[in-house]
Amino acid sequence: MSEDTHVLVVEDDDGIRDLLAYKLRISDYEVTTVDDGADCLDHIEDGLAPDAVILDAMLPGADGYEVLERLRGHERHADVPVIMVTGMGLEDNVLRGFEAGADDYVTKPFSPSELVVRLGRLCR
Amino acid sequence: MSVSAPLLEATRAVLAALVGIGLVTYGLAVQRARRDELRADARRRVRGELFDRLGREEPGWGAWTERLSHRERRELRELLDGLLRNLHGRERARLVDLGLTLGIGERARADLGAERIHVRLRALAWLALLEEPVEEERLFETCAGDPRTRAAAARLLYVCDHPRAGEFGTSLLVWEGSRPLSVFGLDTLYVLNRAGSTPLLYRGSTAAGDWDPALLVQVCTVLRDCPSTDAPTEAFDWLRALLAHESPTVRKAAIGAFAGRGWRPALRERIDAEALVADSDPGVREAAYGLLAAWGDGPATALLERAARGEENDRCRLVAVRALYENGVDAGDGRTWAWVRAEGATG
Repeated sequence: MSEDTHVLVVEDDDGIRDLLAYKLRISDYEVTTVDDGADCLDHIEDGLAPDAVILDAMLPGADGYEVLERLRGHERHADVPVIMVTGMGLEDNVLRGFEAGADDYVTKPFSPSELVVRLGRLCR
Repeated sequence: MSVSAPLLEATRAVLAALVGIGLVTYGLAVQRARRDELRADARRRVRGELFDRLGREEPGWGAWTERLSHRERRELRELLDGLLRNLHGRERARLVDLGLTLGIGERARADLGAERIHVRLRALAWLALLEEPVEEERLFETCAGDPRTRAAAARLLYVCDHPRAGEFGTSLLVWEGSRPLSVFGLDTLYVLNRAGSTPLLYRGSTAAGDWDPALLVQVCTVLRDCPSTDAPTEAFDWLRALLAHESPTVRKAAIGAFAGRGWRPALRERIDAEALVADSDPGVREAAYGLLAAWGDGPATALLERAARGEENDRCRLVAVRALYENGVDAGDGRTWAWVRAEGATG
């Protein structure tokens, strides 16, 4: 993966967010991090154009599903690959994510290494 | 106009006090800002190094943690807590090693004996995060006295995959039956019995007589959802006795616990379904029709047909007719049948 691939990580837990950003950077991704759903939407409106998004389902401001629906409704981001990170074993959350247009999902607790591999496949 | 000396003195005193308070507030704010800054620096340093080492085959936790300051170790513990809750796989295994290298497991074991309950709960949470098993005797002697520590100890047995997690964990949870379980306790009872509820059935045989009705309802709910393929029919005797409990809520919950067990003829034969559908409480009768619908055999269908004709309560009759319709019986008339057929037609 080259540094041309820009990943937006939207996660409110700073430990998880920083770990994901670190793992993505050492895998040669360019990374932007945001900790709030509303901030994420603001960044998108302001012209941020990620090539892929890792999106936590539970976020302050606007939850991950709302962010995803807005992304999908945005002409420029309608096809951007999105991986949702949802709560453990909650089938409804997973289904809701897919219905909102997620391309893939992982449930917490999750493996960051696996997430990076999944992202790589989506960005191919 | 002259100002009196006492008034002047008082004004000076008030001004001095205000200046004093202002200086102290300012001092505290500066101190706090400095502390936050040092903390943020420590967090940044620790985080960068942690993530870097986490990706290595040999993270070298021992050599690294020996060099950490007290503040850095505290930040690292806090970070570790959040990461262990959210991660699994290779990274988690390495973080568990880090936690043990930091001495968190050892400290938590010692803290199990602490007097303050929040210290014991924190210790149990760390032991569960690090998946560090604790001997049954030690858990019992330190955790049996409070429902919160009992639930946390039972959860620890589960996450550590203790060979007697089902039996011992269940015993701990329902040790004192005078009050219902917390949401966490109930969830733990469920996960401990998910693969087989025989431990809970046996525990009920000896202790259900002392259990509070709210706890009985919770236990019945767990038994409703959890299988028990190896328990003999006699193990259900106490649960069968609950079908005649004075509380309709308990009777209803007990019926629910039998609904999924209709495949055991010996058990079915011991339950007086006639008595259940004759219960004075409509909620209990509704549950009984649900049980008969799940069983679906000849006698059950006959009772449902009788209810479809003669059940006085509209809601109960609807449940009975709906059960018949869903089991392929469509032989009645009247408004309940019309309703159910309309429901079936619209999906």
